[in-house]
Amino acid sequence: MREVVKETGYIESYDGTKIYFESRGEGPTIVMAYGIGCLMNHWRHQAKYFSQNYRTVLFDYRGHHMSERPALLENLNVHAIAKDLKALCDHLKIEKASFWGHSFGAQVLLRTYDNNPELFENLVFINGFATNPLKGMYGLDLDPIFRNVKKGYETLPETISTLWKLSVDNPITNRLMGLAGGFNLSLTSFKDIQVYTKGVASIDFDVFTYIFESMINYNATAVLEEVKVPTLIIGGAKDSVTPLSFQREFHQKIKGSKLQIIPYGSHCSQLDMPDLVNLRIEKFLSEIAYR
Amino acid sequence: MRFLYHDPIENKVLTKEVSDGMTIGRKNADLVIRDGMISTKHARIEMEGSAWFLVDQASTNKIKVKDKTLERLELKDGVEFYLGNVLVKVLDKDMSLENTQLEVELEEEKKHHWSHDIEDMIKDLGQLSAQSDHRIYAFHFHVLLRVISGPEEGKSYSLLYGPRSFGNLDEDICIYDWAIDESSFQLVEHDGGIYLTTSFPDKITVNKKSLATVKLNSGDKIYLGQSCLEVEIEAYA
Repeated sequence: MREVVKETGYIESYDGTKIYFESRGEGPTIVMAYGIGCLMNHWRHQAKYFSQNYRTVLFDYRGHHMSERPALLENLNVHAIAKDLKALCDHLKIEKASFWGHSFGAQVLLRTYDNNPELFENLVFINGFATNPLKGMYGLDLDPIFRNVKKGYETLPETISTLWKLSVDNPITNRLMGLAGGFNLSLTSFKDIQVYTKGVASIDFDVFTYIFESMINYNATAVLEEVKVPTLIIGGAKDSVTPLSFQREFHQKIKGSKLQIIPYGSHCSQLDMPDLVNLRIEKFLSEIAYR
Repeated sequence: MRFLYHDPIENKVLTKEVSDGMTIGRKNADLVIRDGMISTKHARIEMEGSAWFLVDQASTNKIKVKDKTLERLELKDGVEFYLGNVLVKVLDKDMSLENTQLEVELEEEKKHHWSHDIEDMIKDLGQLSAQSDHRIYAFHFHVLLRVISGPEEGKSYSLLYGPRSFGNLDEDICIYDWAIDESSFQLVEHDGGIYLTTSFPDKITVNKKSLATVKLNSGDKIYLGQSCLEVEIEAYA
């Protein structure tokens, strides 16, 4: 495996918020957007594999990890993240790219597509959703639970923040969060779950809830029908966060899209079976001559 | 006549005796299946003469059989249909069968079905996989590694294709065990068996024996770091 060129840095977005990015490799560009509360680490197998022949770009959402939280909390939403992505493309002089979104990353990309379709050469969605995933997650409607937790925070912010840090940073909660995060515990390493929960813990509760609320309020279903670029949709057969019906809806609404179901795949199919998923995406890129 | 289905909340296979007028839905129904794609009032059982029918109740996602969407389906032994994401199988013979046997049957079907899916998918990747540094192939066996001791005790890995590498964060499957350093092992299939290979035979052993390559059998124990993984291998029917 040859050495790849790596660049890291910050860009200043439309409201002055500094956004952290990492770019690896050379060639046609692939931009990867992760799930809410996740880390770049969730794309590690893909970044390593594809940076051999492509330029892979990862970035931290505002309020996540290395990126700043904005001065105004109301600027923590999917619309602002889409603007960050456009600013990042401008900074890196990306005129067109292949965009990949995992989970909430799908919403981010759909919002960006709605604003700037000219940036998109093609799309890959992995276990994504276009609208409120809480309605249907585990066959339940979890929306009221989130609303109640947020209400609690508005009443007792310090208590909830402390509980948040304590609760997401212990091994038992890691297990529970692993289930709640939709990881297939039979396939996804516990360390990946731990990395996820650590990632969530490192995000302030108010940042998380603002973005989370924006996520459940944003409905990008109409954008799906506007997508005119080649699209690959990947879904995990055992994904309980975004069940296959979500992926089938993407497939049905995006004309000419390809659907790939990963047997035994969880909500993080790209972590469960990295080689299989990488080759499937490579095949898709090869078929549309994106190389 | 009974329905056999996998309950998404309890995560186990359940059965339900069918009766005339029985309603099925996400809540407040005779048969409640809590799947987000099942409507509150999804379907109803109707008997006409000696025939049984499943009739849609103006649900959002209807009744699905393979790629067809139906509003009415005749129920006969062996018929399978989807309500939302839940596969339901109709059973109308050998009523003496124990549930445990039925569970095994359903699990076997799933395993068999998914092994074919993986095989087809890898075949479809064909040339691309062959040329890649990451060439993969479908296993002809269902390979399961159960962690029987160590930080991940109770967890199991179902493997569908090879090669798969186990070790730290750099590997294909990373095991949560801080005692594992750079050591790793691979599982590959050749000569009609599943083999473990490792460049670290001093740190990774099978049944406490240090070998660079060893053919695995059901019941073998792999030791690495503080963990012990028990092997289960079963050829696909």
